[in-house]
Amino acid sequence: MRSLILRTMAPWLSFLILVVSVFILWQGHNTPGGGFIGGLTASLGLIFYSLAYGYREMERRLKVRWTAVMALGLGIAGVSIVFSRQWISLFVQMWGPPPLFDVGVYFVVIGMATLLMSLVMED
Amino acid sequence: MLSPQLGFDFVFEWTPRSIFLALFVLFIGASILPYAYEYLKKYERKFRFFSVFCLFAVSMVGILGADNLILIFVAWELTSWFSYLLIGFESERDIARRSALQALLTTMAGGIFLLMGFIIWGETSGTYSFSQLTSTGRMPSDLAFSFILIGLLTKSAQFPFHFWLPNAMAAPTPVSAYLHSATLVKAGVFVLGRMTESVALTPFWVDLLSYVGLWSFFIGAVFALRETELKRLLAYSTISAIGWILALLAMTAQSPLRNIVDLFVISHGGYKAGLFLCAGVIYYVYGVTHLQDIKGIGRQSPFLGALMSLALLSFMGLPMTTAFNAKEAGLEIFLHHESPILILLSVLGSIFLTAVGLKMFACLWAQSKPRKRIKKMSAVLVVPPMILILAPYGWFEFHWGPLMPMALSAIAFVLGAGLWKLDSRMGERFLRKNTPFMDRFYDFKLQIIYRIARDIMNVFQPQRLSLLLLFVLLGFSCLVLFAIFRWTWSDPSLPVFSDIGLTDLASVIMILAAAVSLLVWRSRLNAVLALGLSGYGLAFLFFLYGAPDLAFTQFLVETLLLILFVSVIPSFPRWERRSSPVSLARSALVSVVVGGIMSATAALVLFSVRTDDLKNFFSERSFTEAFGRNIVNVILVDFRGLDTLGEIAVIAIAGLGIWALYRFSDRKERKT
Repeated sequence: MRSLILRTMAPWLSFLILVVSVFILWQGHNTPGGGFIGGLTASLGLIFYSLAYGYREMERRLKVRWTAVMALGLGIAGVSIVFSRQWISLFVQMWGPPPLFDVGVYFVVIGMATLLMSLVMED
Repeated sequence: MLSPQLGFDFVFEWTPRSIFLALFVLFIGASILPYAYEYLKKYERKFRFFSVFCLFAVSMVGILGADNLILIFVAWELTSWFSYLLIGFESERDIARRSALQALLTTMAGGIFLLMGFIIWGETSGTYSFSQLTSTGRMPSDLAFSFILIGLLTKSAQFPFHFWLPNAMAAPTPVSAYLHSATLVKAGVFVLGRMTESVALTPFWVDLLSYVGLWSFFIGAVFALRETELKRLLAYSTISAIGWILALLAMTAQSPLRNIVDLFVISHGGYKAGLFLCAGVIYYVYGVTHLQDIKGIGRQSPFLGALMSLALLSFMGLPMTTAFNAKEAGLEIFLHHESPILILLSVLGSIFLTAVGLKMFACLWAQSKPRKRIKKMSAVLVVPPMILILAPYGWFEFHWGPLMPMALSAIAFVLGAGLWKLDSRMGERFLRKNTPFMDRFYDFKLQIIYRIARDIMNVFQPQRLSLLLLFVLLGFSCLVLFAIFRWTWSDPSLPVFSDIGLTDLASVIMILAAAVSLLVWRSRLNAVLALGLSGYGLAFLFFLYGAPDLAFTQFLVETLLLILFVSVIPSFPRWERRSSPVSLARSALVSVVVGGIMSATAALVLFSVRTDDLKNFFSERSFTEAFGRNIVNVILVDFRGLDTLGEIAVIAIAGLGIWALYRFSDRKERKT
């Protein structure tokens, strides 16, 4: 499974997938995409890396805890809801990024999907 | 208003009376803090103790000042939680954990009743604002008030919910002194006091409250006489004092005599907290808690003995104390009520309390050989009880009350002295341990609840995944069927199947072929691949019918699942058919039924929704109001943002659950 080709390509490809996932998140408000799809894509990128190097190695490099990522996502989403639409709309009009809320969804999905995979495949 | 739909608002309304009581609560807390610092020096978790202690004080103030029923309830529940944490502070002791849980469950059960009462009150009156509700001067409906009363009585440890208070003495002494004598148990008094300040109770409730209160006053005193441990004895006398206060409150609703209640609350809070602190000092310095062990301690530590004696004067309500003034005034009110039973109960209770006080007094100053001190006495331990015991004397006014209550008090004192003599003559026989009937009843109830919960769980949460799935799927189908039958079908016209192309047919055939082959494959890898194939086919269909977001998501989820399944296959045992024909048939039946119901539902929905209202609504507004052109995404994150928040919360909770299952399971042990 851990062939030389895979190990050589994995960092580049997974980086590319992560960039694409951010792009999907970014333009999700106007074209197909969004936080959920972006999050799934990003976690697929991370999983792809882990298939080559192992989940331990991926987590060691990233130095994140997936439960914390989920909490961060929930926090962002919750805060953006609390501070209601006006702020986000302002944000959208000025810079054009996706609403903050979608960023929260993105992180929750990344955290959940990657956590699940790394738990099941860790040992 | 913070949340107009829920009627919730974060507002406080301070009256001179509530400010005064809040200051009283904070004053007692402030006096106990240095004592607690000294007392708990050896404990490691001091920081937790002090933070919870201070948070408790804040929530107590919240009960006194909050002007919204829901806010009062929140503060009320917070005091329950903090009391739970404080009682169970020495969590390595079984008894502390049990007592903490008992106090929590009892007061929380009462809290639920309080909430129900508040909701009924608020909904029927149309406002949750406490000051508006009480300014009308109308009582809540009988149902609401009875619920509120249950809440108040559980928290204030009144009969028949009194059993948790003596057990709560497992807490460290500063906690008992603060929570279980001066503040927490008076929460019921505070709330009822705020209500009855301007609301008049109907005679029925006045009678009920005074009977319950004075009955608690009586039995608290009786139990106190039979108790041998100092702190538990004081706890029983607290039950009795609060019963007295509640009865007084009920009778003085809407009258200027209300000040007497406050006087009693203050004097009781002061001397009782002081007595608790003294009991703590005795335990700290001499390491004893039982009444027969404290014999002669007054002679060995005269200052402590003198303090306790001074507090005992108030305890018995002897002349020259504030408690005496309050008691005389209270008796006079009871006399005005002209109910012989009430007067009898109050006199009997006073007799027993006098006997208890005399017994403690005699124990303190009895002759005995000196005891060994474990630790040194320090000023920090003695000054707080001194302040607390002496402070109520600031409200003392010297006056002889009317004759009748005086005579009753005198009779009670003489009879109490006689009872004490009899008690000491009878000696150990009367001093036997209390039989805590309600306490055992609590255990019994708890066991029944556990048993019911376990039985339910055994039926509906079987250890086999196939059975579990059966329950989930059939339950879900029943819900869907229910919805279908409740639905009013407006337009049962058939959908148009005209424009079905070749590609659609191809993907449908792919899905079907994959699904059928799933049943036939005898290799897990092939089965998983077939499952993935059917999922991709579905995604393709979504794409064809103009739902790119959905197709996108479906593709990604299928891919993730495929990787997941493929990677866990190696850890499975060899494939073999274990299921019996019966269980196979059952599974087939269930899947056909569930699948059929779901397909029927989808088709019915298609038949009935013929309008484009929703579609038009969202496509019109998605850009003008939410600045996005992707309608699906805009609905998810903007129009229905709160739903999505709920969904991602579910995702996160599920993730945490799986994480916990993996981290804390005994899976590794089973493997080896």
